[in-house]
Amino acid sequence: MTVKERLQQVVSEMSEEEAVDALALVAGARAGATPSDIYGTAWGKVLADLDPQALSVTGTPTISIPDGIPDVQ
Amino acid sequence: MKSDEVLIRALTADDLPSLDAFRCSAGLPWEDAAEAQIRGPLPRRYLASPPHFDGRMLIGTSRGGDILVIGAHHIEPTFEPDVGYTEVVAVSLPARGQLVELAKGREVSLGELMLLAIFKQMLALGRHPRTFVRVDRRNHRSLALCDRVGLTEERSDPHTDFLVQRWGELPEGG
Repeated sequence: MTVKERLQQVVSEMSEEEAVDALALVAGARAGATPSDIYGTAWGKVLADLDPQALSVTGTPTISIPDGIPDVQ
Repeated sequence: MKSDEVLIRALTADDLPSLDAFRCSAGLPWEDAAEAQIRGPLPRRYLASPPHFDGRMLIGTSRGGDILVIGAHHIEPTFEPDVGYTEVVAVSLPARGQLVELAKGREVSLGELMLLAIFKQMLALGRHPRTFVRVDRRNHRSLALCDRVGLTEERSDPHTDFLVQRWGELPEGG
């Protein structure tokens, strides 16, 4: 069995959470010092290929901060 | 509990032993994945965050020091101003279901409290008004939390089909 065939077998037997961990490991190794998020996407690349509309400020906030939310100490 | 009974502070290396035993999963795959990250590389990643990502991991504890909830956010730094991305919020399994009483009798979950504290910190840091999270499509609990805090705009995630992005807009100047 070649290395590629062995890898294909391992991947086909992975659960979804194992695949997420494996992706994170591969992404981390490829990215060198750049961290990756919990889904394996390198920080700084999460918004790659983003629809620019997502960043359009409407001026109508959807989020409000109620009284009593603690400040970070 | 009252909101002043939950202390939210920045992660320190002293938290690592407690986080190594942190439990937030009741067995669902996305909860297992988050728990494994929190018990493993996530806090170390944030402790070693390169400055241009401004990674911030927050710990919410009881007055007795028990970790009730954690949250982590950083910036995606190619935009002006930088866009805040909340990577994870997780409530400890023993604290799940506890409500926190705010002013005027309003109650929020611990997850909601942490997300709102993160948004408050983003405002203080001058982040882009638009902010987002990524959520497993099957994670109805987190999607409902997004709805409650105003992350109501759903977008497909360009990197993977099993996630969606939830976007919202911060209030101007808090």
